Amino acid sequence: MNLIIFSSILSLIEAIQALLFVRLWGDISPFVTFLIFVAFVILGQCAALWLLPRRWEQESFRKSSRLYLYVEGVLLALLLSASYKLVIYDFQPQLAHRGLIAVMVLAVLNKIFWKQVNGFLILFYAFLADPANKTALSLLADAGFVVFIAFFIYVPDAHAVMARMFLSDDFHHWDLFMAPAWGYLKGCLPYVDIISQYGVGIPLEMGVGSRLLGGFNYENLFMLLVWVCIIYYVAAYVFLRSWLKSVPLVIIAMLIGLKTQMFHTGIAPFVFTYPSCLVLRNFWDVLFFLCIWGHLLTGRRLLLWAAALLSVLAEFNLVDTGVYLIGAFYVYLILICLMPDLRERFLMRRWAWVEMAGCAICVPLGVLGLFYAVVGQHTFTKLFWDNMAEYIVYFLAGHGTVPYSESFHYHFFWAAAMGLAVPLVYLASIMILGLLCYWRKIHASHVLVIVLCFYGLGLYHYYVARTAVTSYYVSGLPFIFVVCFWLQKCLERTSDQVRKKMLLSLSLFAWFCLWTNHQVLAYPNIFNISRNPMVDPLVTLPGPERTGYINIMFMKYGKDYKLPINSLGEKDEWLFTQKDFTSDDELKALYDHEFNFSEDAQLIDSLTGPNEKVPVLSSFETKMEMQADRKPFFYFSPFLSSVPMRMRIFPAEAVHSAAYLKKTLRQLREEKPSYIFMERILLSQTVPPAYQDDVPRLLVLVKYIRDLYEPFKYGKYLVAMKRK
Amino acid sequence: MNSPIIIRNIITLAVLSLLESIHFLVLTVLVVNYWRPLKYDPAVWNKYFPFLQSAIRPNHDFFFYHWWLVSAIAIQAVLVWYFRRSLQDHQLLRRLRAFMLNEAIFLFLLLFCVFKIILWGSPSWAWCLFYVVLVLSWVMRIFWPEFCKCGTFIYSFLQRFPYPKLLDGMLIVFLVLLIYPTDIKACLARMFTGDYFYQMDGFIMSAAWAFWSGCVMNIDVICMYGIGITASLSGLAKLMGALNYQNMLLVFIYIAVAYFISCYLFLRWWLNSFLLASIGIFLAIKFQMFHWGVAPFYWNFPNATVARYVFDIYFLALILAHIRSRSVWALRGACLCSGISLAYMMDTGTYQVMAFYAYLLILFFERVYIEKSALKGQIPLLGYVVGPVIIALSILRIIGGSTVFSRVYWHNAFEHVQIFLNGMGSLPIYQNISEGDFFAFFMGLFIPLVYLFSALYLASGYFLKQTRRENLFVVVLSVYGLGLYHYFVNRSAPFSYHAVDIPFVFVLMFWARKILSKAAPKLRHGILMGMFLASLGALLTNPLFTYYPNVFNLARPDWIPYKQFYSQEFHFEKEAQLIDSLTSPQEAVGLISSFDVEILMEAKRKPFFYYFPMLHSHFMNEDIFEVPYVNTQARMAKTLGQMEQAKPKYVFVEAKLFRGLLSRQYYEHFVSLRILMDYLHEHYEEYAQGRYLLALRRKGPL
Repeated sequence: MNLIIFSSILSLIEAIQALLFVRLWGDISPFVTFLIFVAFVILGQCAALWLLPRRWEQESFRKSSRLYLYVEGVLLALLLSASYKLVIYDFQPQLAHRGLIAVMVLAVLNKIFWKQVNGFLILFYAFLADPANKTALSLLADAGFVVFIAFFIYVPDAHAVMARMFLSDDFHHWDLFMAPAWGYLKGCLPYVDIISQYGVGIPLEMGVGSRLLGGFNYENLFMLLVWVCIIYYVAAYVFLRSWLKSVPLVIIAMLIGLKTQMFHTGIAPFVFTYPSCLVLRNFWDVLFFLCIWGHLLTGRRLLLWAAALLSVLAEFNLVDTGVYLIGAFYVYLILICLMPDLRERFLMRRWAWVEMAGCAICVPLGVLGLFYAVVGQHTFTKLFWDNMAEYIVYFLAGHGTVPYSESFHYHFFWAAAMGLAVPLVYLASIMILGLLCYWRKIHASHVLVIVLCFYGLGLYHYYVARTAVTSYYVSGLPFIFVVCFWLQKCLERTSDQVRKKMLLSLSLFAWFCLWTNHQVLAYPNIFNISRNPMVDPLVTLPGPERTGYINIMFMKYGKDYKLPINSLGEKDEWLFTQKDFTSDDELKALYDHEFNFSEDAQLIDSLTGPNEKVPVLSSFETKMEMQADRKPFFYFSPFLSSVPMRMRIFPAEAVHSAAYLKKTLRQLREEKPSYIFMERILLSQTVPPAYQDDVPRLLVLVKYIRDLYEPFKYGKYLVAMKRK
Repeated sequence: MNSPIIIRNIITLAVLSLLESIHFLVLTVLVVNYWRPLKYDPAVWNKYFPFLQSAIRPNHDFFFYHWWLVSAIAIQAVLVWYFRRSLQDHQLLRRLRAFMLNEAIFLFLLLFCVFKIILWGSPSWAWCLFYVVLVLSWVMRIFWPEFCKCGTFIYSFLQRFPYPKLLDGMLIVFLVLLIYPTDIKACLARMFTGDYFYQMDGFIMSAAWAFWSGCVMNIDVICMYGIGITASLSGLAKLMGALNYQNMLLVFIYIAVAYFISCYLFLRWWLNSFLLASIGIFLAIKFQMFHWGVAPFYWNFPNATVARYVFDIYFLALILAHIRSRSVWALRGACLCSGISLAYMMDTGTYQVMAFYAYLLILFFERVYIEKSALKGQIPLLGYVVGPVIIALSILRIIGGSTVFSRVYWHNAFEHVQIFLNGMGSLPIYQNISEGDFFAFFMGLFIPLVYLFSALYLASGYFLKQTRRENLFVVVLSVYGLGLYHYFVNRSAPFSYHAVDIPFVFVLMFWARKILSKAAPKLRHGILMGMFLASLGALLTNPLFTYYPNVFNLARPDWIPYKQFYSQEFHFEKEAQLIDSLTSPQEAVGLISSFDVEILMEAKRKPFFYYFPMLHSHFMNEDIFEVPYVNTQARMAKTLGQMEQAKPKYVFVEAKLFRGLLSRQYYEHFVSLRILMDYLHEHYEEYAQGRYLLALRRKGPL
């Protein structure tokens, strides 16, 4: 870099910094700001050209200047980033403002104490790059990062989190998991007695896991999911460390992975609000790849069998991701047969082919075995498989799908480009590495990337079916791993010095990206800067209406949509917003008060036997059944999407099709339960006309109940309807 | 990894497979959608409750996805088998490079068409282009050797084209065809239906009519954009027969044609490359004429046309001439040009003068520090410093008369500038990011950074004897660009930087030439050809361009209803007769109505009110109203003061305004309307009526 380019770039950087300083301290007109900027640039350039030419001839000065330019560039990037956040979050700019001030102070200090900063940076880099420190630093980084993952994901105040979840979406997404899990614990069989949208094993895992943590309830399940995430990410770190080796590269991969998988806009306000978007979906995959990697390195047959077992567990856990992992396992088996190196290593023994075939066959058998262990003879009935395929069939018919062209319509060009880039990278990797392995041009262990890519292409179905803006994030971890693999390959072609600097820079950038993400700042872990992370506007996400997420879904209903009184016979709906809470404790108190249905549980308890299936037609039916310790009656549980109990509207329907209603009515007709427990508001004689369009099937069901049943006894929110 | 040759070849084949597989995918999508078009299956549809039916979006995406994966791997297998003996061949990449490049270009074009089809509702030109590209891509595959021969022949023919002047001539003709609208009536209809001539009236027509009807500018009637531009453009319109909207539009069009041809000739002379000059001019036209800031139609916004700074290209040419030849006539010419510009339009003229001063400063330092001339010898430069100002004042004196030297004139001339500087209508520079328009924001930042970097680097380089003297031209160009950039600084509307970014395009072309000069001649020519086609394609497929009514007119919209509507609605014979019957030809007529400019032009009367036009016109039968000009208390007071002082016998006002037929919200929102109507009700009474206008007669003795 010659002096002119250096001084021109430096002048521009310093002038923009100065401009930001000036703008911070006064509201100056744009024209004046612009003129100040131009003046700064020209003065800076003149000064540089006046002062520097002689010193520029010294190599040490040039080196130090380049570092200075780099540091000033980084500081400018930070300043611009803070300014950007200041503009974007103009309604709650406190955090960005503090960040801007902090960086400005740093920028000033850097200029004043550059000599010392320069010395420190050189020393620090030398320390990091010293081969003698490598082992100790690696050990420290490994331990530190694992601890960091645990602390980063762990949520100390689960109670507060549940309170906000209750008040923001009324456990709508949670109950899709809670209901089958509770049903399973009470003896209902998935896909036979109760629907499980996500797989046979998930209700079992959730129910049993939660019990192990002290009992089946919302908070324990939440903690179970938190631990699932921690274990998954720690396992992912271990896997990447053993595969990619490089500590900074693995940390980069993990940070990007955490950011994209857990903190993207599609899961606002909080990843745990949507259990289906958690790594729970694909919990077993990382262990599977660890086994495959181990098998490739050591050739131990046990690891191959373990991989087969893990793919079985994945299928048991969740249908779709399980299929992809099984597919990846079969790809691996095929690659063993195809790749000469692997064939020589693994298939030269006697009976090796038989063992391979055994591995291949044992997977479907294992899946069937697990299904049998859970649902028994039903595994071999058409009903079980029809029920399991029900959702998939609807999905394939177009229900809830979003075509690929949608991203273009809404001008989400980045999403569209990413959506295309992901499978392209997978495919290119498969093609290139596949052939190179086949011709023994690279080590056969690269087969792992091929398997990973096939698995990634499988997971990518999620995006193909539902090309929403952020869908590719949900299944993006294999993509990040593959990209990091290629990054490593590219860096291998550079010098040691360049590689280290690049990795250091990328790693700093990854940390920066993670910690400037608003969702990360809002995440209620121990790093959260607020003591009330659920309600403090300093950190909470603004929500689409900028009023936070509390009751956001229920503010839209107008007077015309509401009934005169709620289930309690009152007019007041207690529709609070985030502004109504000054601390998390207030939020928790309200949650404890409102999410307690003991009176209704007593009502159920008094009228039904312990082993009886109880039909509850109400918001929060799962929680009521849990408190009453009764098993659910309806196959489609939850039948309704919960709304706050004090609202003067009917709960929404959670059922999707006419077939669901028919099945529910058939259940009622055939089993003729003596009592049906119904939300009291459903007794309303007249309803707003809009209900005919919005909840037509609920109205049919309520009419059926009111024709054949009569009110018998009242609880707090429920009425027990007795068969006439 | 080892064996770099085979690795490279495998990567090559993988890339080729992916290209082919996407080609194949596009073809498959076309065929499948033709044979099995997407439709909603009632059997599936009826299973769902009505509120969920909208969520059913049947598509073939899964099939396409699987098909693509399988085809990519199959194609790779076929290619590897086909080239199995060449995998160790050093030349494989070289052999395949041209084919792959063509494949990539065709694929890009196909996807580009698909993109346009999805985004712009299946325009017919995009489908047409799509089929052409598809057929061509398959023809290329089948007849690749012949295609290569043909391409080589064309390439070498173009390289050794015997008549380079003919190329220039063809390009100039192309520019004329590109810019000149064949259907002027359609343009007028579009302007009328688009913004009711609001911008046209505010920018030129009102002041032009006032000027030619004998009003003193900035004394009798406001002249927001400068006397020079008003007098010159309206003079040209009059030379064409009469001052009316059609002739004025033609003046703007001719100016744009002349300006862009001049730009091309200038670039050709400066950069000495047909391709670079063509790329520059295509980009300049695309950015300046077809950006979203002037949607839906460029001529709706005459203040964003090149008429703002029509002389700058000649000024820049003279500066370049002086840099190259040091001819004193060139410097004098530049001085004259900047003076004319200053008189023509205050803001752009000022930027030109600033650029001229920057050049004088460079000359001064060059002579003193490089040529070591005596300071005394530089005194003549002072003449050039005062030159533009004297020239501008002289022109203004000739056009505006002696009032130009009065204090009131200058106070009035800068009145709206002051309002603008107070923040009226300004938008902060970060406006674009808060609205999620990141590209516009970053471009807005990028432009001054490029200017500043170029100016700093090249000026410093020259004084440190590291760059050529001719590069000083880019310094002047950048200073001028930074001046023009003020347009965006105060009003950072998305894409408004495009109205003033022609110097930016020139600077980009300079850097392109500089960077490409380091490349091998063949590569340079290839890149330039690519850039030429890309810039031409970007221009021709721009959605605004496709609707532009020139000879190409790709979208072919039906303008007949618009033209009919325009003919019916935009004539005010009865209103003109009413005014004519009650006022004498020399009388200034107080008119408060939409289309007041056209009505007064038809009635051949000069305007009475200083703030002219007074209203934002809307169709006469519409219940819409806006008062954009009388927007401050001082302006309101001045308007009422005019009426109180002159006490005109008749005032003409739109009946719906005076009779309170508009929605109440307008009277509540536009305080100025209420005050005006109150005043009229108090002092005037209805006297006669035209089609839309009322003639109000002053109450009591006059």
